[in-house]
Amino acid sequence: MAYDLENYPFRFRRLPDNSVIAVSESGDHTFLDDDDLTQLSNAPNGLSLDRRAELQSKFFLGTKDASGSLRLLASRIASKRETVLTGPSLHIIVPTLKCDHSCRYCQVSRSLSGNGHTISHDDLQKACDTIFESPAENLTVEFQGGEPLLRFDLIRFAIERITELNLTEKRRLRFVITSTLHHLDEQKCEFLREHSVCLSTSIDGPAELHNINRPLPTRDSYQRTVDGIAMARELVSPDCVSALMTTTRESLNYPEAIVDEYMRLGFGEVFLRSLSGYGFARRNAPRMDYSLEEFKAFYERALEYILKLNDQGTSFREVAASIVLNKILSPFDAGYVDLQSPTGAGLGALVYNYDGFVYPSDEARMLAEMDDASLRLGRIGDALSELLNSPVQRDLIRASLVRYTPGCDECAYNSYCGPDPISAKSQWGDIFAPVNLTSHCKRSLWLFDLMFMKLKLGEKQFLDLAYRWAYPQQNTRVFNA
Amino acid sequence: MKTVNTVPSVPLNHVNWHLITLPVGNLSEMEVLRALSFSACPARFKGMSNDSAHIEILEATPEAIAATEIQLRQALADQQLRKEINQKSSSRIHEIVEAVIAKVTGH
Repeated sequence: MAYDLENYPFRFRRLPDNSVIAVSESGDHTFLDDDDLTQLSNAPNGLSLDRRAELQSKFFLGTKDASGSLRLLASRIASKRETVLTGPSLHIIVPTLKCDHSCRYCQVSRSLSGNGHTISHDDLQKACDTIFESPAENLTVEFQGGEPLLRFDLIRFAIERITELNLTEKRRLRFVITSTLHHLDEQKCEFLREHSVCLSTSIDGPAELHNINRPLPTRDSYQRTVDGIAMARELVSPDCVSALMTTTRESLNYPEAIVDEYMRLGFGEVFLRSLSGYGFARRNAPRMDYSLEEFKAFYERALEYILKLNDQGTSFREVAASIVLNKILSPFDAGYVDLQSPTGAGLGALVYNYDGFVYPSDEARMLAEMDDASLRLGRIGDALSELLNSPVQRDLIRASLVRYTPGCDECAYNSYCGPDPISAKSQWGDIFAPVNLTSHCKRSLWLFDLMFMKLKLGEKQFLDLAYRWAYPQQNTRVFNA
Repeated sequence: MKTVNTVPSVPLNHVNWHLITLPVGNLSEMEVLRALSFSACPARFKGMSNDSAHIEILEATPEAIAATEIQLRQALADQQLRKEINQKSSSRIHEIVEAVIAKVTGH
């Protein structure tokens, strides 16, 4: 018996092998051949019973009186948008821009003496108060720099104040410090342990590569970070440290060595990140930058190596793939701010900068260091409702709604992704730049294509791994970075 | 005549282009442009007449031109299908999505 089926909207895309991936409004996907695609569009009742059942369960099709499943669909769509629905949950405080490194790709840091480029006590206190104006139940407070440990007095003040305020607020708090760990000592570790603070550091790969990217006059940047990791694991907690890497031109030749280094240092994952086009990275681009094609080759080699390690019994995760697989395979969004529509900048994350202003993202404050302060939301101390209703925030929302963005509106991946207006501003000088010209779009399309191609191949070992990676681990900092 | 270049990295003054004409059914000029803008083909749109699009392909070997033409035909057929899917699909679903967005944006 044929049901009175109606078509639900869905989008499709040709994968590199010319096959079709289709994605429904709920974010469920299916692989179709050309005949099924035409049949689904023109006469879904002609599809096989099994196929119809699958497509109904994935919200490609529905019956006309299916009010229950429509409520479920609404709930599924809202779940995918939870990161931007529940209020800003990531609050980044930049106590100081001071840093003793001169990293080639660093966006912002300044090696300065004196009190310049450091947040005032008054602004810091106001920032702590504003955080609790967010309705979000889970609040992550992250300290970035510069090197924030150079002003540990400010971090201590903020953590103590936020902890005190939370006695009445009773939110789920998480503190993170992004640091080289070079300035860690026993006293600091004791405080960090008392307040369950996590540490996020940078390891770019083996010592030689790391020291090229992150030079110090003493040429021991790698060793000092590794010593800091060991100290933190011993004195704060064994699993308190996570690490991030940035891919430079030098890195491209060492995908396996970078993975090996992360495993040797006891990390369970690596986030293979490409260079971002901000700050000194842009100035040094001719020496450090590379094409997307070169990054793809690097990434795919590293990923194959990681998959092989997992096949051989070593559990190790690649975070960029995990983020994408979470989007594809899980009904719940892990909260990665850069792939949201509307944008997670502002709605999911806020930056309280040393300069007394609030920015919608880390990248926006980096643009301000490049003399483009147009993305400031307001001053520290302004009410959160004012910041989130500021003209800049309204524009960022308008520029990041996939349904109203040419290109995104028809993109198969628009349930998972969204324009990155701040990256567009950096690359093209306009948050409304054509999406298909942005590196954010090209990179995202490639990574989603890559994961769908692997899912389509359907090798059991990859599918098992994909479902494990799709669910973020506890304390995985990068998912909401 | 409008020229929409889908290969921004190619210096336009130093290459030759091969003109082809493809049927576009009931696609509007804007819909043809959309199909082309997300196609990886080295092509640029020159204009439309009589339900056909005039597209220039970056001239390389005859085999490469033929392969690009096949890809462009596919891209235009896919765009036609997207239009049909959008027209046929339940408006109730569009309303649900709008409601979720409204909750985020406050409108």
